[in-house]
Amino acid sequence: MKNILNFIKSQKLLVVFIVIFLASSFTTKYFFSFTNIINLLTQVSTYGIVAIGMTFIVITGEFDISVGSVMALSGVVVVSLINSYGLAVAMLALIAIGFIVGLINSLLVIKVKINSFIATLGGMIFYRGIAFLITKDGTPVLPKVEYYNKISTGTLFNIPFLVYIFFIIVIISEFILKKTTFGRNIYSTGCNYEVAKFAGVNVVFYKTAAFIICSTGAALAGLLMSSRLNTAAPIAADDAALSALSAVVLGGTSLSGGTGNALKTLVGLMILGLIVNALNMVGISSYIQLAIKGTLLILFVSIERYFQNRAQAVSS
Amino acid sequence: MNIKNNIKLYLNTIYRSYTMLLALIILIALASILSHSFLTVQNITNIFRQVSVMGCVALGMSFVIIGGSFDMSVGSTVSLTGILAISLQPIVGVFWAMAISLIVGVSIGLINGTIITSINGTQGDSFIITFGMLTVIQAVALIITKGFSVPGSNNKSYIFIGNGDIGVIPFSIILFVVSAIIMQIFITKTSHGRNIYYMGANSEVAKLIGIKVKFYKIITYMISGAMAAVAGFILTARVNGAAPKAGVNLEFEAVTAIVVGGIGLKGGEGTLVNTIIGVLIMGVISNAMNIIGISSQNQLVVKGIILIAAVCVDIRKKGIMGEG
Repeated sequence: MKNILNFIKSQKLLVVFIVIFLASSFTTKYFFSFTNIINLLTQVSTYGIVAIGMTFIVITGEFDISVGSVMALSGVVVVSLINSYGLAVAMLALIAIGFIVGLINSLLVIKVKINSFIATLGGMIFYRGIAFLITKDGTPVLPKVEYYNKISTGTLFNIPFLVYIFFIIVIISEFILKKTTFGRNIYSTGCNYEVAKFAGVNVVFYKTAAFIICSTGAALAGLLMSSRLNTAAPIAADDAALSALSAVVLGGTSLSGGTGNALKTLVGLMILGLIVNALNMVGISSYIQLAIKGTLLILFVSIERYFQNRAQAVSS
Repeated sequence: MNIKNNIKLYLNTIYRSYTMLLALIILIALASILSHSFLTVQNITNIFRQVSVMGCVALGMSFVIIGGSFDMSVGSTVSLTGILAISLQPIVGVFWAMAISLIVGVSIGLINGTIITSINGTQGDSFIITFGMLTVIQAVALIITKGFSVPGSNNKSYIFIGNGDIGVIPFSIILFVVSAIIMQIFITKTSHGRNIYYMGANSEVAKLIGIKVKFYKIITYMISGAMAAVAGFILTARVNGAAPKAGVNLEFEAVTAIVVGGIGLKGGEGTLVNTIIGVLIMGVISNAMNIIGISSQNQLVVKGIILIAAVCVDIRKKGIMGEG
């Protein structure tokens, strides 16, 4: 009995997840169908990849709100390039976008010492502007190759590739964070920047790496999203940063950095996904869902800070 | 040594407030050389009309930034209050429609401020909280309008706010200037204003010397919300109609103007004179780009760079002064 209570205490969110899951499956008969579960997983996968990348950057104690614009930019660039030069060039461009954006962000945040929110806010506007420039007044770009759509929607055992890609990324990220020196140093960079620096951790390198991982994740998500929708629009994914941050924070990764992991973010994502899925089933409009998402973000951050303040008050 | 430091500080203050003024003058000169249509009375009034919306938002947000926080929610507040002001007019009349919108704007500020102060929020928290609020208010605006635009008001005095002139001067710019003067007096000449500076410079110290930090933080957010509502009036009166996404990116443009004008994002410094100069610079740049024929979406590229560049310059200046 005690063990069960301890488990519930340590895994509050997983319990919340199971409760919502069971509640949804009892309230609507369609919920617990294979199609719907796969639907749910497909829905969370694109922003999920962004959220996993975001987890890295939040662990180092920074934010990146330019991810939505990077998704739009990478979608537009990849589709335009694939139409004229093929997949290889497009993939190179994708990696280049992730790398360059991450490098610019980290340069602004680490070297120039701009608050990461402002630096990526500027980036958010800038990259979306570039996506508009490329597409000439915002007309969506359509892929002319057949296989492009298949990258996300092609299936293996009736499960879309997108879902596989997402879970592979979750597993790799969890492994990197938990089992490698690289991951440990990411945590120590976020836990206490100065101490990590004095302990000989190359903090600049690890923060830069986290920024690059985050924006590369966003670029990849941009490709997968445009592949799923079979179109790339410069206005796409304007709520990506919000959704990803909500998932990260809900999963229990602290915004002050130093804690959290990819699995936690996965749980956060699944809870948000379940909520959206349930709302869709009841027929609540996407606008109300947007309001709920925003409210949840405010709520999670407030609750987390509240408990942090209380813990600090107790310890002092 | 002390005198020398003081002189250095004084020179720096002059340098900071006048460089941007100089930049503005140079920009105007450049623009008028590049295009003959720039320095005409009609175009100048046009610029003023265009900047008055973003200018009002920037004035309100300056209070929040000087107080050491941040307000991302103003853009959607402009959309929401604009929609309310237009769509309530047939039901309750112009006066009450505007009054209700203003109350909504102030309440949004109150909610922002209350949440942020009750969790002892840092500047980072204020970003995230108001970022969430941006989404919530945007969603409310979309829910009310079901995503469609609202046709304009047929009340002449309401349209006057955005389109009317007193003499040759547009009424909206008079509204902007009068608000700016009142707010400038409030923040530089009253003890309340001083307390906001103390709070922005060092919130812990301000608390220790007995300043009601929570109260003043909430006040700054309420001012920001109120000015966003005023901007909502001007915008919807000018284009004579309201759209649920009319205010998108306004928070970004306002921050850019504020930083370009020379108010540091760390808080505790700068006055509304900086904001006005920044707003005018951004107005001239937008106008020049319009004349050249760059679409407003493509202008985003330039504006994103300007924000980052301005923040870099701000941080470098502090580095020179040894504060960074």
